[in-house]
Amino acid sequence: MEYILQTNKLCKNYGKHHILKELTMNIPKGSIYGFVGRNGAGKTTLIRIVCGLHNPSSGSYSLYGVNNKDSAILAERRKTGAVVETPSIYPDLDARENLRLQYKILGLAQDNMEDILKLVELIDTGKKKAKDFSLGMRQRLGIAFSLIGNPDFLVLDEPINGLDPQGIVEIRELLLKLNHERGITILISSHILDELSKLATHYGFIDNGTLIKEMSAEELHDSCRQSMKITVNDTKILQEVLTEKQLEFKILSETEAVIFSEIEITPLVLALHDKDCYVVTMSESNESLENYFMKLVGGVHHD
Amino acid sequence: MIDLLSAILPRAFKTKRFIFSILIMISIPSLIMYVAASMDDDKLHMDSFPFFMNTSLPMIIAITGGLFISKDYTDNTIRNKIIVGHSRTSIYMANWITSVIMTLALFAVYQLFIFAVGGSIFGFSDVYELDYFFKELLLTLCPLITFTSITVFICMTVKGTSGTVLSFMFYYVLMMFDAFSVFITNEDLLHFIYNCLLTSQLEELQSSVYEGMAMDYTNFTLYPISSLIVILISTIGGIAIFRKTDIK
Repeated sequence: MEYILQTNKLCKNYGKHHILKELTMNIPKGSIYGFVGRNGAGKTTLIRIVCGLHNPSSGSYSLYGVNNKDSAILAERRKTGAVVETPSIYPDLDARENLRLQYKILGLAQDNMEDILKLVELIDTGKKKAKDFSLGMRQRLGIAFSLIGNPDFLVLDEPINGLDPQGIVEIRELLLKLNHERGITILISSHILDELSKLATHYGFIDNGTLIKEMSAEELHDSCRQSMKITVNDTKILQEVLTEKQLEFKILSETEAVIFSEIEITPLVLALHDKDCYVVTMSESNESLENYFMKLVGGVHHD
Repeated sequence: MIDLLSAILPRAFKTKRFIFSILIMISIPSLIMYVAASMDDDKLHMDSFPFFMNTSLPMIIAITGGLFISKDYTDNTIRNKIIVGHSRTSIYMANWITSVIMTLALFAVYQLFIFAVGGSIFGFSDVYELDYFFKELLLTLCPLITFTSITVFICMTVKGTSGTVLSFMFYYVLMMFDAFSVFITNEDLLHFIYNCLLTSQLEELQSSVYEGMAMDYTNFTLYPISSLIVILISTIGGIAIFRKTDIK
């Protein structure tokens, strides 16, 4: 698999505080990588490091395969766009003037400026100064900034924070469009998990500066979907019975399995009994992404 | 860095602060010349005016250059340059060049105004030499560019509006050197330090015209050398600190 961003045991310390602890993550090309963690988990710190705003205390990362210590990383950054926390816009300029300035900073011709403004739906803002924009408009202008130069990788830190429901839908649709139509890889951090689940193809769960789990959306779906966990004395027999009944399942160990299909319990138990297989425990599971995350980080913490 | 300069420079000259500073550079000498003209003194010539604002210039430099850099931090727009792959050295140097050009532009506006208006009202004295003026002009530029470098250093390392305030404070602390000089007993050393300070240099250049003193030509080496050393130290040190700084 080709990766856009890979970090290797990345650490960031502020004095005695360890914000990132040997964090290793891999962002596949073409993915929408949902970076999940509670406030203060280290999401923004990692994003700042990746964007070159912060220097790592130790460890390394590579962008498009180029190590952060290599001076060639500066050239690779030109293929990256980012919105870190609040959009970095010039408040006394209108949308077009803002973008024009960023084009100049990049040394690019302003040939697709109108397309970008159209894409982020700021084409009709006229002479309105950015300081008079709504939060949603500022976010979209921030995203417009990050799209200048046709980046291959977008880094968005909490892009839907503080947005109204309509703003959230607009940003979500924009990101999906960018990913599907332009093939842009997106790293998006958020603690609004339900919203993230509508976008992400991959997930990284961070807690207390450590990446505790990295998985694809399919894997997460399997973990979160409605299922019945069953413990038996022999899963080989269980497998035979479930296959006969054409049920969807996954064998976890010699004694444990998960059944995803809806089942009638008594016929199943009787069928197993006929083959000398007895059921020890059965438990239903229907986890939301939120529950899954809470389980991963070990419940509610009070920092 | 050329991309950065082409973006930063036009913006720097369009800011309200720069236009406000230009107005100050015109309005203060206007006021002084108006008062001088009303005194009806025949001995007063235009030669008294070109450097009489020397000690006030750093304040205006701190407002224009300092706030221009600080605003990049308060709006977080400095991120836009780092994220797209401009090196920190380029960003620092682009800000340094922009600030120096702003300083030179302000000083040029002031000088042109003095020459145009002051020259036409008061005329030049018979003893005034253009050669003398240009030498004094070059010497004045040394402490001005030095102070600009220090302002850039402070603003780029302090990362916020407080950088501008600190630049102000720094200048006034230097002006208080006389108060600290009691601790230096060696007169030669005291004299040397005094001549190396940009505040003393600006004061000297200002008073030399006021009082009609002959120019001390040893300054032709000391002022540029001391300026160059401070500019190099502040710029190299500033870049080194900025490269390691975490940006919000």
